[in-house]
Amino acid sequence: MRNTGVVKSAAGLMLAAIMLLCGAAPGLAAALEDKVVVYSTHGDSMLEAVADAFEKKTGVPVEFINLKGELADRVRAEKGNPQSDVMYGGPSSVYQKLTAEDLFEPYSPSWADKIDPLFKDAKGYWIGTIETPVLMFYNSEMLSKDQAPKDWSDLADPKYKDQIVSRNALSSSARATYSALLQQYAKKNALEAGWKFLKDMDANVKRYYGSGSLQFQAVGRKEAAVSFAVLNSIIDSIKDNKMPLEVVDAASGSPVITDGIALVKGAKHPNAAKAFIEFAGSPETQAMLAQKFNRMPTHPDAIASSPEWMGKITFKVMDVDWEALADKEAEWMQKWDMDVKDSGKDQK
Amino acid sequence: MRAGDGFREAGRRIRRSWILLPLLWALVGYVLHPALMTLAVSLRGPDGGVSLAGYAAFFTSVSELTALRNSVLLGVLTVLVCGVIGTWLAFFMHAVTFPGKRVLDKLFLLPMMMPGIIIVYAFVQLYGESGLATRTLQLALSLDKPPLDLVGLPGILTVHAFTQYAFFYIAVSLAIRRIDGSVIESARCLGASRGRIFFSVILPFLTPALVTASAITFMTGAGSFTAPSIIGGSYRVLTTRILLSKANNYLGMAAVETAVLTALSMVFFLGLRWYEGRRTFAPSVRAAAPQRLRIANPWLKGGAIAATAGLTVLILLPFFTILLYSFVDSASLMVSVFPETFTTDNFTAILTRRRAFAPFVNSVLMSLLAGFLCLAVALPAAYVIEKTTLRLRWLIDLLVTLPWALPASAVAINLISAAAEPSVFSFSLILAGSSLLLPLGYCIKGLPLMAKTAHVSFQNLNGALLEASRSLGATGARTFRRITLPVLYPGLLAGFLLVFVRSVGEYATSAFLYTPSNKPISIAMVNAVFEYKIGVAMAYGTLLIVLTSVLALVIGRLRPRGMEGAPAGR
Repeated sequence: MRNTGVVKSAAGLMLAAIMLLCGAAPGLAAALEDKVVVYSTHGDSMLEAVADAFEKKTGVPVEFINLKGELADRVRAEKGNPQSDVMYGGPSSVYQKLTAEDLFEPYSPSWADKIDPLFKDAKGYWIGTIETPVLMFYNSEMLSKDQAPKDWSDLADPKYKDQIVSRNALSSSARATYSALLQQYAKKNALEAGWKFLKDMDANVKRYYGSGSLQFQAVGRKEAAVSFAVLNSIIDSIKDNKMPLEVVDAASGSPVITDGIALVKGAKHPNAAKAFIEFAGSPETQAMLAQKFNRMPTHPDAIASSPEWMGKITFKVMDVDWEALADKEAEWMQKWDMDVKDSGKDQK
Repeated sequence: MRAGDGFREAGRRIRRSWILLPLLWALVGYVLHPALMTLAVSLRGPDGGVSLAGYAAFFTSVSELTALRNSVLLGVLTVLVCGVIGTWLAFFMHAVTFPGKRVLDKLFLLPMMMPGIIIVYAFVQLYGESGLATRTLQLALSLDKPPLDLVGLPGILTVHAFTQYAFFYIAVSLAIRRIDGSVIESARCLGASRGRIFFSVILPFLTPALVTASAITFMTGAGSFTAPSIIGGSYRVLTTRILLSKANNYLGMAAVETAVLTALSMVFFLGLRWYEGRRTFAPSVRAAAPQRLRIANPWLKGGAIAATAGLTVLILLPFFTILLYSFVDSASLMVSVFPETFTTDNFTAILTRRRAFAPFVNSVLMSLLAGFLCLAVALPAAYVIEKTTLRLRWLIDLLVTLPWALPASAVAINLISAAAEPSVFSFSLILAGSSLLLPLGYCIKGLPLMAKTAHVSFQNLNGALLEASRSLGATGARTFRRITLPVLYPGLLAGFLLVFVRSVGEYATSAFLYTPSNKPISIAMVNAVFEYKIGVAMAYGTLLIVLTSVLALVIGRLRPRGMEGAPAGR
């Protein structure tokens, strides 16, 4: 009897598999492939958490690689034969660039309607799942609240000479910040004043770092008092690394970068990829990332259930036209590196 | 007999061309093609036609020209400091025997195995404004201001000096062995001064080694990215410009900058080759075994030992820092300089990860594979360059050197596009997404190291010895096993070790070519840095140091059957 039972259940499984393959199973538009390959800018721990949760829910294993600046280059290089299904993480400016290069396939997950149009592509080529504000911060053992800068324009004040460290122009948050600041001047038809501000600020910058760890270490070890970075890095440094940092709510607002997700055109596992996007941006996952990894959600339901500190840290949002900025950022940053950076300093 | 000779000569020529075919196929497909692709992009005008506009823009921009000048200066200075350090160490290790010498010899390869970012980190933790060494000095001398800072040209050069000497060390170590003791002896008998002996006897023996090492080191120095990017400060170089142009989507300008940097390296290389060609003389058939150079004067010897000990400390100090910090909590590293408590948490964090050992296994296997692939290409290449008169040999010489002059991203990106569709260069297989791509990338980047080391040892191979073996009736196979292989073995082993050690911690190519199934150790390490877990990154570093040193020692002791008595490789 046992044997027939096995045979029966095997037959049942087969049938179920066939039904799945034919798309006959109700509620399932198409069968998921055997895996999904995700290219991401997010860290190992966070990716592992998302991947484990996705696998638990769908049974589909997630394979991921994670890189920083090289990620877009890699997606671009693989255009002829894409190896990834989903691109996860990275600022909206990069997504806009890659959309223009015809590297993505439009896809709108079920929760897309609830996302503010500011955080997504109108045609559905990419959608934001995380908000990443860039804020100024300072070492509270070096400066009091009164001594700390109140707004970005203070960074050009000579009293902060050699008191500022910054990421270099290869960091996407630094790029977004420098060009967003410049845009504020451009909007007032005062682009020249904007360049002058950046030059004055550059004169105060003690060191540009090619690495976030060294940038934070410099502030932690009191080599400089002031810097700016993405909020989750600041919170991680305060919570995990016990650093004495305070966040500045800049008077004119702080730029908020949108971290996107997109379906790669020509993906080998398109159904699993769509399921992954559906999952990674769902309010539940966004809330989980907020709780465990200090990432600010874009979904209103997730914002409602975000951790306590997010309610406490208030900051004004800088009015940035990200779409217009996407066209200008490259040109401005090229000019910044050639004409602004270290222009007033001696070649050491 | 004459007809027979001609016949044999013709046969040999045909056999040589057979060596050439697969060699050229591999070099053209994986080296020349990517280089030409970059050149093509750099020449693309705004309207899509061929144009020199990009170059015109480059050579009229003050900041581009500054970057170019700085890159040249950095390359030349790197050659000078590394040349002095590497050559000195090679002579010292040759002249002095002491216990643990073999281990120290392998430890000198350590700087090659660490990903650049980790090495630069270690240097910053030591000599940066709030580094261990800086603060220790400040406390000891009770200074108001930190006495050291690692920034700009001096900063970059400090890192280069103590990490990029390895090629001089290896090449000179190999070349010292063929210095003919009898020539030195005769020169001395004829009353030549020490200086004269050095310049007119010892130096000519070393010229090929110094030339190849200079070329390789110049390319490493001028093409160095990590140190200028992290601690360069206002010292602007071409490599950082290239990355920024790419990030800013100025792909044409990036290609121009890449082409200029590559051309610069190749000009330097060809210039040195030309100089070498004018000076090279045929090595004699050694009747007497090579003499060990000895330092007789006790004062001199003491001074030499002290200087070397000092150098050794400076070379190993960053690794000691990695070791020390791997036992320190990341949180305390962010705020305090001197660690107060020690923990094994960083190691626990690595070892409790799912598939914790996979990156180590992946890196070791892929690096070994890369080493063998390199041998297969570099051995015939070095033979053709050194021992034949084929017209194509200059091209082969150029091609095996080129990968060192090309940025890793250019090599990797072109490898990706080549792998996207079946081609004659991938045996008509689609290699895209395959785990083979990364070892292939390592192999291409390692090719110059292997070819240059093989080149130096081929010069030890005297044609007269082969001729003698043949005329005594030995078969080709027997000559190869008993004469060729024992003479080449130390060099090939050294080359293999260099490629292996370098690939284990390679980051730039890995970033483009790794797949979920072959994630290498360098990626795991750099990820830890991105997550602000410096302690964990250092723990990865410690594990890598231990693993690679043990493997390097084991590989270094291997001898093929029948040549157990052959001299040890370096």
